[in-house]
Amino acid sequence: MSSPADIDQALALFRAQFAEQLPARLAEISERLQAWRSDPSDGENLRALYRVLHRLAGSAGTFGMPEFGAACRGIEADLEELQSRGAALADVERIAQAISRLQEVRS
Amino acid sequence: VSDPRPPVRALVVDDDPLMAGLLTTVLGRRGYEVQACEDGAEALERVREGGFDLVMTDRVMPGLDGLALCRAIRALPGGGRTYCILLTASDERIASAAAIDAGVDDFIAKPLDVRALAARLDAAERALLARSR
Repeated sequence: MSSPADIDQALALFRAQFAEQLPARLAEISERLQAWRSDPSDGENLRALYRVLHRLAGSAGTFGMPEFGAACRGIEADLEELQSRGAALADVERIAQAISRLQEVRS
Repeated sequence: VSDPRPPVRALVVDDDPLMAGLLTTVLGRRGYEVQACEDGAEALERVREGGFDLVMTDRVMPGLDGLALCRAIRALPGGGRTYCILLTASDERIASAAAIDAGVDDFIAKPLDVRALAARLDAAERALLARSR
């Protein structure tokens, strides 16, 4: 059985790895956004963007960046709704702006 | 006195390798035998091959998602014995009827609180013990 200190130590290592990986994860979001922007009617592009935001929302809060995770969660919720009702150009631009604001929340 | 019970055999399913790594570490340090995979279809294949007491799965994954995975596990022969935990966003209301109907035993919220996770695993172990009797 592990002690809380063991787990805290492991968590600290994962937090450091997450911080290291964050630029690459943000780059992946930008790529997915560009793909969706180029064809907003493509449901698979929208789902792919939703999945990367979902992944980041869950892990950011877990690995010590709760505000950033909450911002990702907000975009994720917006994207989930768009999957059911379809996206107009204005929706795509709103999402793009929210994603560009993620950089500010991060810093 | 040594514990006569065999270790819990657990499968972690999450397409975020860091999250899967953290869960694997926490479960491993509890003495579980843990495997991890990144998608639902592979998870189902591994469960079909047998031997897992507990499956902890993310909800949103490419291909077979967490709910579909739980439903598929329940449909396997003996699949009712596997304890299924769904990882969800903390404000998600998908908990409740749809998930329970799919065969989910418990929910763990992301962001993950490792202290709360320990309490949920205590509950899982009690349920597994009861199911083994």
